[in-house]
Amino acid sequence: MSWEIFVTISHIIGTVLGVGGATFAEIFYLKTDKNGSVAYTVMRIGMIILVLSGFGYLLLLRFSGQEQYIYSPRLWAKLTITLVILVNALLLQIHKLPIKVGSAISLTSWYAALVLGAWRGLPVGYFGIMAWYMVAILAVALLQHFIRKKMIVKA
Amino acid sequence: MTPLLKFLLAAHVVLGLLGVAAFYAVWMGLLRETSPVKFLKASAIWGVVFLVLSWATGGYYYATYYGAAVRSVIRAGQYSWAHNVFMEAKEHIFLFLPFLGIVLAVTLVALGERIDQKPVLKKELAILAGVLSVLGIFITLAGAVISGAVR
Repeated sequence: MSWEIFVTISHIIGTVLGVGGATFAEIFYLKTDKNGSVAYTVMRIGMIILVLSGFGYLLLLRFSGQEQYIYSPRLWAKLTITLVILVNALLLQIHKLPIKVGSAISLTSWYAALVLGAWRGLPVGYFGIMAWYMVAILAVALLQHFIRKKMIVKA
Repeated sequence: MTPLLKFLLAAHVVLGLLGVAAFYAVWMGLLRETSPVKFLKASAIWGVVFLVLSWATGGYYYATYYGAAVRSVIRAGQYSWAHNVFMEAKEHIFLFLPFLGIVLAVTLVALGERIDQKPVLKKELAILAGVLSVLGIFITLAGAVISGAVR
């Protein structure tokens, strides 16, 4: 197995665990189920694998003389979103962010990272990507609000 | 670049990331009301080990290869600021990061279970872990900026 395949597989596993963990954390939150901590553990493992394999990609670019791709807006948008996930987790830990806001940021960020990773040749610059990302957070927060309201009415 | 230098650069990056992750975990743990003492001690000790190893591998790469073969390429190119600003900052921050980590790990090991009885010290240790994590993330990203400027 070449290093490129190893890094790609690791990156996909990290993404699957992270996005899957974020999705289930959201479902548990909406159902006020206490099993959410398992989803957070899965998400943390996904994050570590994703970051390590992401930097593995940067190393492969460096070793193969394709350093120009390291300044790609898509890559820096992904790095920024990864930082947002880390800061969001920290703010939730110290109770400086309402859980519903943190939950929307976490879910949107993981899916945004997934979309950015898959969408090669995305014709949008860094600030354009970040603007869409912020719009997506608002949309997810609103959607989450309505789903939760509907679930409370049903119960 | 020889296979040994490639290995050292990759080890420097991976070990540095693991070190930053370990200290970020310590930061998160110290922000909890009840400290997971065993986890904090283990994470801080592993963080120091990772940072020291990243220091050694990166230091060897810097001293034997970067100065001679990479710096001149970056400075002659379009992104000379990547060396002048980011590498200059990174190499100085990088030097004292393991020492901050040692202070944190030694204090956590010495305090043990008493950490929750000393809220002021616990808060100061959380700040130290936060500083370590933020500086670690900064020099990680600086490394990416520097690598992208080699053209």
